Amino acid sequence: MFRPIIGAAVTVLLVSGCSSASTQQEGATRAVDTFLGEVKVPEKIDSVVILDGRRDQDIVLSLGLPLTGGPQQDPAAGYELPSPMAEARQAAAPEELFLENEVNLEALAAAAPDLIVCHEDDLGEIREQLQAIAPVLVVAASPEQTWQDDLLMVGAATGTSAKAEQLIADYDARVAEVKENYADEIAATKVSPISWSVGEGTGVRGARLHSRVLLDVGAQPADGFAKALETPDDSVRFSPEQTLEAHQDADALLVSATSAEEWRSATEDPLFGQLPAVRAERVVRTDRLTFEGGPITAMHTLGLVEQLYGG
Amino acid sequence: MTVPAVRVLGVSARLRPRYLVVLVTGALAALALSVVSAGVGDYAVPPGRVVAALLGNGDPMEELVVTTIRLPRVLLALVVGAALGVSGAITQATARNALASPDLLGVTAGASVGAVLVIVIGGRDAAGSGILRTVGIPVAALIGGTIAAGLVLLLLRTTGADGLRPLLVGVGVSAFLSGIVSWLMVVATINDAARANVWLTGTLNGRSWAELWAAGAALTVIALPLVVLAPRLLTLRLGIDVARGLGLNTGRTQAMLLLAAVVLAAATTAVAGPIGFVALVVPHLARLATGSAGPPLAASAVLGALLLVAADLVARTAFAPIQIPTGAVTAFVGAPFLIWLLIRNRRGVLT
Amino acid sequence: MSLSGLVLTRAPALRSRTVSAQAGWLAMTASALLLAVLLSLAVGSRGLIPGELFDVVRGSGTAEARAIVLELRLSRTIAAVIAGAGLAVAGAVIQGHTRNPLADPGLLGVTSGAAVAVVLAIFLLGITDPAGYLWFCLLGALLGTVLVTAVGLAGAKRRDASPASLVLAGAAVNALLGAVTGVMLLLDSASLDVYRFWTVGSLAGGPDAQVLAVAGPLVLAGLVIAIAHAPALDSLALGDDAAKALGRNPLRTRLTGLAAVTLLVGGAVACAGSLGFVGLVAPHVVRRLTGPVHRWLLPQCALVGAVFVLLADVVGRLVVHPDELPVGVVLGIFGGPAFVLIVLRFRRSRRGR
Repeated sequence: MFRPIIGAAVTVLLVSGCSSASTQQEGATRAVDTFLGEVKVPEKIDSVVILDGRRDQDIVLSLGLPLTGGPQQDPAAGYELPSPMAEARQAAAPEELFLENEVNLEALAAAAPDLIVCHEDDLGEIREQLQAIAPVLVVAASPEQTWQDDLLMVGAATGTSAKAEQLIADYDARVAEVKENYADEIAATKVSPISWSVGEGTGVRGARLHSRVLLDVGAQPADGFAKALETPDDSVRFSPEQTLEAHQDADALLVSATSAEEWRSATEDPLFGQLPAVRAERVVRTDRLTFEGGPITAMHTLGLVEQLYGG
Repeated sequence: MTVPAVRVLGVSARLRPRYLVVLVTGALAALALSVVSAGVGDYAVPPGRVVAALLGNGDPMEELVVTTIRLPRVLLALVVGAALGVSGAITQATARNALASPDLLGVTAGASVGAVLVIVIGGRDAAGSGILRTVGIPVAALIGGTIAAGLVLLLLRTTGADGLRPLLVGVGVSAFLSGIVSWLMVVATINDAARANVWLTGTLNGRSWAELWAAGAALTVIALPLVVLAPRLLTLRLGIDVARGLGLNTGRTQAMLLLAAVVLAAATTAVAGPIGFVALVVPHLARLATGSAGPPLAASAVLGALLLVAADLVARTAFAPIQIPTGAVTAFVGAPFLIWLLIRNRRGVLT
Repeated sequence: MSLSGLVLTRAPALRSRTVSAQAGWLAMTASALLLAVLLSLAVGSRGLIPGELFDVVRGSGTAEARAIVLELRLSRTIAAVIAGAGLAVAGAVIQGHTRNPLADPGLLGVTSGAAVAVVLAIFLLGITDPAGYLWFCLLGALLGTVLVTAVGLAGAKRRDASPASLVLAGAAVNALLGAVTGVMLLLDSASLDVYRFWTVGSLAGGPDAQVLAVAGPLVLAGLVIAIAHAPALDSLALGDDAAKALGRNPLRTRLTGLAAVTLLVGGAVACAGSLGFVGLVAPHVVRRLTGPVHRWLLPQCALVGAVFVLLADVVGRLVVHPDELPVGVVLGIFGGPAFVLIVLRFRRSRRGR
């Protein structure tokens, strides 16, 4: 019964959105088919705004697009390790428009970007408003969508396809190199990428970027990792008591602990200390910044994986 | 001086001049504040240009900010505020209890269980743009809120709903239900838990026109029975015995009115998330302003709209550029008000 | 009615149970506590067979089993005992002082006040040392107790005052504190973990030994103070004037009670975060065993409260295996309905009087 009203409202909205957008964008546009249907992106892009700061930022930075605005990385989050994207971000020096996870539409509108790149989970309830501000490219639209897919999509939308393909080729070459250099190690080592949180034990998620990178080099998953890959949402959690039981068979562990406090609680934990991988000192620490990302983060993670195999 | 009598949709009431003044000033203030609110923010637009943007002959960027981003939010605040005010006034008048308000009867906690349940079970579908999100979550919240309040009222049937007991039972039921919500949050995947958290904060942030129309339509439909029931409320206010003497089936009327009020409150929770204390505070303010004996309906609607637009303006601008949930602002105002009510609790006010 | 008449009519009720019966109950709850402690050490998300447990008890056993039982489970068991005993006794003391059968440190906002004080200390002052924020816990508990007592006494002065208004004031305080933490969370989203622990109440992972070492003695001190002023509390039950006539100084009794509640709640919250309903339900259950005499009521509350929290924690470990449900959530799910039951029963009995 209310459908027609809603439909009319949406139409009005879209029309007004298009009219305001068209006055800003003079000149030719490039049409791409995306998760949100066909998106018309201006050929000349002077400013790109991101909403999340993970895969969207990585892709925009690595393609060399003019990143002018994005979220402020929460200073109190306690990131102890430097971000893989720190250098590229510093060069682009985007304006900090709002806090992580708290998109401010007005600040976004005031920045008047030519293009918005965001994650599917930022879209939530503000999809229509975003589309009214600027064309929107959505990355990580589904768990199956890899960063490579998104990189190619954004590349096609912004006329940087060649660069996108080059980045993927670079990554593949690095993967091949690691595979070759550590062939025996990789075959003989059972690994698991685990995350540690204070008082809540450990968790493994197959969809995380560092899990994907491990699989890319042909890593042998330990039990916890294998279990996570079998579940429908690619993830498994273990309580503090199960730390040893769950990761007993792992020869090497990639442990993500974001803050100094988290890492301290892990190293002081009696069960964590008994893990064979920890005793053999085959642990590489990372943080939640390698959960998700694009080419820059993937290359950084490859370095960590190399360390895990003794590099 | 003669008192003007008006007759609207079968409701006839004598409007005292003071009541009329409150209604008109309240409405004008709400309108003015809406225009101000549509202009204030990170992208400032002066009130004159807000009107121009609303009429469609402003700067395109200003039009975008005013009509697409801010206006739905302001209008939703007006609608939700008015609905909460009416719902609170009916609850207080029907239960003859100055502290009765739908959120204290368990509506909010029940709606939260419904919404979070859909988010967790529906998973990605419910969180994304699917039909489950636009329809499923509000409907589940509506059902959950109504069931919870129904449960509280049912528990009270055996003992009668006098004094503060309804509220105490509401506190207990709410504690139980929020335990269930926490349980669901533990079971949920990280993404679902984060999304549930956004819903639970009760924010009007990022509302679109489509949602506004749906909310407005739903609230109108739910409020329709009240037009029929409102005259009986006036009779009821004369006291149970008088009402009975006038031939009113008081038990059934009370039950129907309470049900209508609870469903209305659950619907507002469904569209705006938990926004506490408005339904409690507004009828009191309306009573103080108009000087009437019972909680006045129309004045509660107007003042509810005014209060929520003001609260939302504060939520948007107090910690700019960070927006705090509207529900947090109403709690800052409403919780001390509740304590004040309890401290000046006199015989006859609470029972 | 004359004062002596009042005392005489009340006196038989106060002596209704013999010392040996009371001691018998005490022995029974003590053994229940022992059982609950053993259960808490034996049950968990990492299943251990009885043989493994027995080895640990004998001092042998695998390193894993020893770490799980002697470090993780033992520390959370101790924390549960401290928190349960502290909150239950605090509940009984507040109920005695306010003459309000619905008083509970959790419902009245005292525990969440203490929890918010800690979160504020972490935010504003950057205190991360567990032993450091313990003092903020105590400060928050003190402020909360003073506030609640003030509202409670203001209500008790009036003839038409109802015990319910205090609970509602507590609900309002809780809502206000919820809003405060909600805003703080938005301003500093990373503190979600800290916040969750303090406001939900959790024992998973085993609380810091440092905290237990300080909080344990605090709660014990609170317990001793509370039991020491039990006779004064009994005479207070007859009204301030009667208490004065019996030679008690009501002000001193109130201050003693305040100190006891502060120590009990502060220590309990430091161990387990904010837990609701223990302080309400435990005294009600215990009163059916011991009657209203505080000398017996308070020690029993300590035992029964500890049993409640231990059992709730064990349930939380098992229901969402392999994850854990925080103990505060379990207490809310069981405590909410128990509270409703008490409200309904309480009013009915009062009406029948």
